[in-house]
Amino acid sequence: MSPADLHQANINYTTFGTGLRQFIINPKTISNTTSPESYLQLLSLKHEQDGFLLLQHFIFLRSPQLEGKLIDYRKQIHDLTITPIESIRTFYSRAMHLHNELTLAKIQDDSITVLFENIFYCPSVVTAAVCLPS
Amino acid sequence: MTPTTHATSTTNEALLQANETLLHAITLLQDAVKKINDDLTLVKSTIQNVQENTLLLHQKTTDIEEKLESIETNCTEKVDKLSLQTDTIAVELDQLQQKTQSITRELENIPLSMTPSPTLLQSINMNIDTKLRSLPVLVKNEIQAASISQVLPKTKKLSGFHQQESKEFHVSKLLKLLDTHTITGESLQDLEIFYDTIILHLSTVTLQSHLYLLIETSTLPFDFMNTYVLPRRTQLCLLQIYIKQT
Repeated sequence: MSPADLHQANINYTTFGTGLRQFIINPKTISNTTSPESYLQLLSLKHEQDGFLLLQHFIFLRSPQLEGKLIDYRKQIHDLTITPIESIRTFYSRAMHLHNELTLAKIQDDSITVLFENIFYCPSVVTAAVCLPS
Repeated sequence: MTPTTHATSTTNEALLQANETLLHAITLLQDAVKKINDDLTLVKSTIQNVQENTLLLHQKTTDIEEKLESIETNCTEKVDKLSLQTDTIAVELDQLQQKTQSITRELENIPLSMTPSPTLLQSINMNIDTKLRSLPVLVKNEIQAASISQVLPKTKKLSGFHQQESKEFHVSKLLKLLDTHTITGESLQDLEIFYDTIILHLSTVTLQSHLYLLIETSTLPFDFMNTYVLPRRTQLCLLQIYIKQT
C-alpha cells in the first residue's frame, strides 16, 4: 500500500463521510414522528462532522448490546398478554418480534426462556387456544 | 469744587482714554505691519523657488530633447545599415538560387552509373549475418515478455476506499441508493435494517463486501476509520482475528 493510496483512501473517507452525514441528518431519514427517541439521540450527535463516526455513535448508542442504554425486556415480557379481541396469530407475531429483539440485544440471562414460558403458560393464551374453533 | 476744575478733570479723563485707544491702535498697526512683512518674505521665497524650478525644468527638457535627437539619429543609422545588409543578402540569395539551378540542370544531364564498392558490400553482409544470428534470442525474449504481460494485470485494480474516484465509485451513487431509506420505528430490528442497508449499499459502491461488519456481527471496539482506511494487509489481519474470535 503506497502513501498515495492511503492519501486517496483518506480523501474518499472524508467525501463519503460528508455524504453519509448529509443523509443521516436529513429530517426525512430519522423522523421525529416515526422514531422520536432516535431523533433525540441524533440531535445530541449533530455536532459530529464525520459521517461514519456519526453513524457509529448513533447505532452504538441505540443498541443495548454495544454502548446503548439498557432496555427492560423483562417488563416487556411480563406485559405481553393476549387481548380479548386479538387473534393468536397476531399475538404470536408480537411475541416473535420481542424474541427477535432479545436475540439482537444479545441478552445473556434467561429472558428468552421466560418469554416462552410466558407465552405457553399464560392463562389468557391457554384459554384463547382452547376457545379456538376446531 | 468749582465748575472750571470739574471741566478740566473731565477733559483730562477724556484725553487719557483717547491716549489709551491710540496706543492700542498703534500696537494693532504694528502687528499688521509685521504680518505683512512676513507674508512678503514668504511670497519672495516662493517666487525664487518657482524661478529656480522653471530653470531646472528648462534644463531637463533641453537634455531630454538632446537625448531624443541622439536616439533618433542612432536609430536611423541602424535602419540604414540593416537595409544595406538585407540588400546584400538578397543579392547573395539570388546568386545561390542561380547556382543551385545550374547544378540541378547539370545533375539531370549526368546518367546514373553507380556501383557499390566491394568493402561496402562486405560490411553489409556482415551486418546481416550478425542480425540473423541474434534473431532466435530476440524472438525468445519477446515470447517471455508476452507471457509475463499476460500473467500480470496491466493496471492495479483497487477496491474499497483506496480506489480513484470514478463513475461507479462516487458518493452521489451512494446517496442515490440511500435516497428512499428511513428509520421506520424504535425497535432494534428497525435499527438493524437501517444500518445494514447503509452498509450493504456502501459495499456495493466500494466494490468490497467482506470488511464492513453488519450490526449483528459488530463488536467493541469498532472504528470505521481503521476499518476503511487502514492498509489492506492490516485490514485482512483484523478480519482474520475477528474470524478466529467468532
